[in-house]
Amino acid sequence: VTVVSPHFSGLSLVDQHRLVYDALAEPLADGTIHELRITTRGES
Amino acid sequence: MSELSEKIQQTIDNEPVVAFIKGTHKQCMCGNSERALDALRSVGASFIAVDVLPDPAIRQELSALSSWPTIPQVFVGGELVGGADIVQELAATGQLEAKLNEKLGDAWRNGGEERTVAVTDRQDPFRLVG
Repeated sequence: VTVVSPHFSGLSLVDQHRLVYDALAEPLADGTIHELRITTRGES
Repeated sequence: MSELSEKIQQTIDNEPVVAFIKGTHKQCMCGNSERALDALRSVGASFIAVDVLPDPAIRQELSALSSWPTIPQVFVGGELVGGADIVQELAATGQLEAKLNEKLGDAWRNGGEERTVAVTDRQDPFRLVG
């Protein structure tokens, strides 16, 4: 997934990806999502 | 803090570059772990690998310490730099070298040595012998 959000501005890539993992915690935990590739960008 | 958790934290704190992966540096068992190692190799960084497969508790304790849910996890100078996606992205843009320089000075430019160390006495039950 690629996520572009103003929420990312000022955050490290690690913290940006943590937000994505948090948002998808449920499908990740129950196996709906088995593998996830993340790209994040602050809004430009 | 459990003994295992302490051992993991010590490894993160004491090793300049450490990658927690599925498998070993010689026999990587996961494409994402391989991507992270290849990113480190692309800049010539020496690193220590830790195999999380011998005991599911390694993953659980590591994720509890790092607040990062997935494997691989790459640490530089005690700081979580990211999983495969971030490390690959940083390597592609030159920022991985910048991060290594920032945290370690020149100490990581020592020939691209690779080792796998254990944080538990347990053996991976699926590891092929030999």
